Amino acid sequence: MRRKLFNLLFPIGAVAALVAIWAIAAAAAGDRLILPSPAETAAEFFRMIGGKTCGKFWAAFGMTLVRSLLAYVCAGAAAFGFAFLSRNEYVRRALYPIFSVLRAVPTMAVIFLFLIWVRARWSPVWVAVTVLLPTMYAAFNQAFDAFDAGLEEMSRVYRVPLRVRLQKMYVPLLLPPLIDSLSFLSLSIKLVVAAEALAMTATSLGALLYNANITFETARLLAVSLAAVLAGFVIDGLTFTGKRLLPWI
Amino acid sequence: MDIKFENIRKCYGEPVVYDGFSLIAESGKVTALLGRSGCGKTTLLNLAAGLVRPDAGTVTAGDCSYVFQTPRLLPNLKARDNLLYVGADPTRADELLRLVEVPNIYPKAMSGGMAQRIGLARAFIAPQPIVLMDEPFKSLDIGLKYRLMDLSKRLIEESGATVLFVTHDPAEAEYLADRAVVLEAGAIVYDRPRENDAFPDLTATLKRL
Repeated sequence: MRRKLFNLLFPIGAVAALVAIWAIAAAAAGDRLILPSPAETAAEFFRMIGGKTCGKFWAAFGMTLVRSLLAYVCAGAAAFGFAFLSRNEYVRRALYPIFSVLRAVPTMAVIFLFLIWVRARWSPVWVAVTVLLPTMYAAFNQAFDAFDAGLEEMSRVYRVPLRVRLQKMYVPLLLPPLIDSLSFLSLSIKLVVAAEALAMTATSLGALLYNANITFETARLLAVSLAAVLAGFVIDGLTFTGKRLLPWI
Repeated sequence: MDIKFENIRKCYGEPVVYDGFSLIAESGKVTALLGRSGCGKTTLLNLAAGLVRPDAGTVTAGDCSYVFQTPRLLPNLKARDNLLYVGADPTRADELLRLVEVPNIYPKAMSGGMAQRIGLARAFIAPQPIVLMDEPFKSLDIGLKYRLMDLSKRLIEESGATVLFVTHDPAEAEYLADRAVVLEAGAIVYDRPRENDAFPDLTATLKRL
């Protein structure tokens, strides 16, 4: 019980400390254009999500989430497929230079290129897929490499049908790393918002950020950022809860 | 069904494990394989199971069960479902769980001995003509070891399977096997049937390796 209380209070305490530091820094800056206080940001946040024009925010939030989810699913499916194929050593070697290049290309370069190639509405999705793909591929490769070869041998010896192996072995045992990959959704949101800001994508958190920046509404800028951070926390919570639902872990 | 190894050659890179090796494990009998670590005992089991192929020669063996050195249980399935995973009658699974005295729990909650018992039960859940056992009683305390050996003896007799059984312990061979074969440098240096519940000179042969 004490441990549970400690586990709960410790992160709350850490957040409280961060907010305190923020308040001190805002007071020291003395200019809300440079750094609004936590109270001013919170007021702007609640105005944004519940005020007269909250519909605009929620539409932007929803569309950013849709783009982020789309990018995550596309990148995840492709990465999983490539990782599965990479169990063949020749395929792995052939893909290595491609993913090395994708990993090394600067994110800003990817954003600018897709702004030229694709319409503003969907370029953030392409940007996120391109950046997520090599990272998720590496993560799924690791998951496959860590898969217990002894279990596969046992299944071969006992001639377990492929359908049963997929249902009772591969899918359940690959669930934990798949759940872990949910954390890439947070990264997807970050990438999509950045690309939206540069592309001025209509109905997006990125566009809200951009507009807040050019009109010097720093509190609004921080409030929009807070919305993205909270979305990330929810996703982390899903990841944590998801794994705890697996009774054998 | 016999297990036949005919003129087997097997290398792992440079080291040649077997070169022109032959052995027949007779149908319905328990053949114990002994020898130093790394002499190729497990390789013979893996050849019989089809997990590895010989570089030359032929291996003749049918469908088999395998009791691995480590239990190799699926962590996401409870004990009963681990038995059913290899395709078996649920009633038989319940019966074997009772025999091996393991509750229906996840592998993470099992002791090493419990997991090993499930591995053993799995080998006999759906009768196969061949049973391969790779040091199945390793690292068990004496009491548990003999209980499991008694159980194995009973299950082997019931199934009538041909058994190839790897062990380092001559006492295990004398308890379970009809024939003892000692391997060294890819060759057979001892091959005797049981005589009066023992294998003459087996321990002495092993000491000389």
